[in-house]
Amino acid sequence: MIFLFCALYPEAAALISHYGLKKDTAEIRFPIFCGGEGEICLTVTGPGEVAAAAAVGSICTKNRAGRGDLLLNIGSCAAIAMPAAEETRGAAGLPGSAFLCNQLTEAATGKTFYPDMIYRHGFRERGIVTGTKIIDATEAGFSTGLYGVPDGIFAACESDGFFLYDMEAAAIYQAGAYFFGPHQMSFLKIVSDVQALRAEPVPAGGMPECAVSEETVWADGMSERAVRGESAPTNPAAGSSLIKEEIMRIMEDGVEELTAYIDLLRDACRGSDSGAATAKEKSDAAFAEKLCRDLRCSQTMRSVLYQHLRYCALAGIDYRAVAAKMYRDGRLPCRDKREGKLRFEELRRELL
Amino acid sequence: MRNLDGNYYNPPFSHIYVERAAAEHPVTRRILTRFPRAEIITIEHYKDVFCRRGQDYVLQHGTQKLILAKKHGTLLYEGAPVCQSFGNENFYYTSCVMNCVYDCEYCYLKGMYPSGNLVIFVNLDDYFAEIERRLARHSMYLCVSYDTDLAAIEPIAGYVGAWVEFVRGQNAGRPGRLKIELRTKSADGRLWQSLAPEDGVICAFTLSPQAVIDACEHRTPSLAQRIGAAEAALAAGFPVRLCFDPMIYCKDWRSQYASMTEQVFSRIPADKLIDVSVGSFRISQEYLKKMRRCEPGSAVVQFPFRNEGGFYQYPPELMEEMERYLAERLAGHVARERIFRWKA
Ligand code: SF4
Repeated sequence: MIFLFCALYPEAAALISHYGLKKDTAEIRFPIFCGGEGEICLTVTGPGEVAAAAAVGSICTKNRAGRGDLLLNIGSCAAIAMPAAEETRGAAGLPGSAFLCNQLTEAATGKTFYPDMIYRHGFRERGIVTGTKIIDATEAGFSTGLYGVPDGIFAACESDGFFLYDMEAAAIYQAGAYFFGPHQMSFLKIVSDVQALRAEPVPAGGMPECAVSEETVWADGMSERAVRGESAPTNPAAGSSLIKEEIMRIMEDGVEELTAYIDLLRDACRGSDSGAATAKEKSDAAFAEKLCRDLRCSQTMRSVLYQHLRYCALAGIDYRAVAAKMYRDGRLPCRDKREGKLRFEELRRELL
Repeated sequence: MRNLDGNYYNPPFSHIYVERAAAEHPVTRRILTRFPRAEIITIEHYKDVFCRRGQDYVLQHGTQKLILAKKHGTLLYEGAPVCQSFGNENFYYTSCVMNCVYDCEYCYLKGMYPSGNLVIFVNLDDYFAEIERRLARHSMYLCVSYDTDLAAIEPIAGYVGAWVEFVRGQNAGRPGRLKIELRTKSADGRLWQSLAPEDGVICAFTLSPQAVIDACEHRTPSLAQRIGAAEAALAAGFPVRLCFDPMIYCKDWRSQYASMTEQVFSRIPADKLIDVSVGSFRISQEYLKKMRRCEPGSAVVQFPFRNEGGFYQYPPELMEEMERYLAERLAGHVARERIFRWKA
């Protein structure tokens, strides 16, 4: 199963329609859409770290997410351009570009998380900073949350002058880590707008105070309007000008790229071991149980016997034939534990 | 989208994580020039990537990433009990690289490390400085290709050449002061021929029957190629050791190991070898537990080993039989006093 998490409905709409996902009406806390041959579960979390983490925790617990599953966070983000980068390095051309995030820095703590970059893709890669507040468009400043961002983020900007900023990715990673390993989580972001950093040098004591206007801070958690993308701004860094249609448009424009990646993950997921027992494994387990019973195995003998059978199956040793001969010879089943121990040693010898 | 050609995974070293403190190191710069298309990710500390929770060693190893870092703290360790000292005193090992580009199913690194990614510590000079400090007190026998295969990554790291020159410098005028073992399955014979020989550098080639190589030493050179590399090292004038360790059990192990011995000594002049080692597979119980979890389909790690004092090994009778058998075959070529069998 691929667990998709989007902060807002406009970020999810194109994916829902592409895969023909159906709303799961039984789920009341978060809007959930399922389908894609039963392999996709898309949740609209609402904006912000708390909402995103709560959704991941709730949905993954309910669906027993784990080995064989993947988590994918898809959404829009801002590109924060270093001073002068916007003009000189073409940062203005970023809106609509999709990025796979290779490091996620939580602004509040300065902690950075690294999803494994396992799968092939055609996106550009970039680090993303997850903040709790919205970067104000008119002031073009930092939110206070960026105090904790390690220098690395700024160093990483040096090559082409920008980094990405959202309000969920690092939280989704941390909540997802209760269910998934770093190889099972991916973070795909499409730039909705570019904000330029102000040009003042960073003082020795840290980043300058931010200029975040109160009305742009998400203070009310996930309102129904926010989920539908109707409250402005839709992007944490975007100020109030971006509306539902713009987010939907960039997601629709990118849907082919996004779904190609989702399909690749889906194929990889199918190929991986889901942990479900095959018919042969079930029949082998039944045979092993019978053998344990007939050998009057103790708990310790039982685990040793299982290890032998596991090895024989892998090494191509026909353990059923060896056991069948013991049954034919009348050495199995055993009458008591004493005989069981004797036959157990014989079986071990004959298997190897 | 590009690259979606049916192969799901990124190629090896598609991404290189570089510690900020190591970024400007000349070794880092040199290594990075070899991977102009790699995605470079700056990190604070290698453990931020290498020691994450819940990693899948096997999956990562199949699409291995490179981490360039500086090693701090302990740089030299005393020899572990599962390893042979070959009668040498002051036996140490060091890990200037963690993990390996080869993929042997039985490799203890899968049980030891949380990640399948390759870490190269770029501050090799700090290792050298630490060794010099110890050498001021006593001579040393040092295994340097321990938690990795240094020769296999020589085109990337260049550390074999650096070690050879370091040993030469330390032994100049004071022969025998520092002896190192470079253990490898690599078959790059040109490497040894490109280096001036040094008596203090033992080139130790791990050899296995071709059937064992095919079954569980993935991505490694064939037996014939490894023999060729050992020949090249001998011809170049290096001391050469052959390691028949770990011996791996299979139904027809006798014939496999017998024909391997014949193949080896049809090409290698036994009297030119400094010694040979024999040892069957053994591993600590914690490592095996983890390896069995991450390689459920590997016969070699799923073998029903016996636990002897916290170490898993083949049942004592089988272990004795396998090792004695091979040692006897080797004794047909190599003097007995130069055959080392591992003792617990
Ligand atoms: S060559 Fe050695 S270090 Fe490398 S994978 Fe094989 S056993 Fe491990």
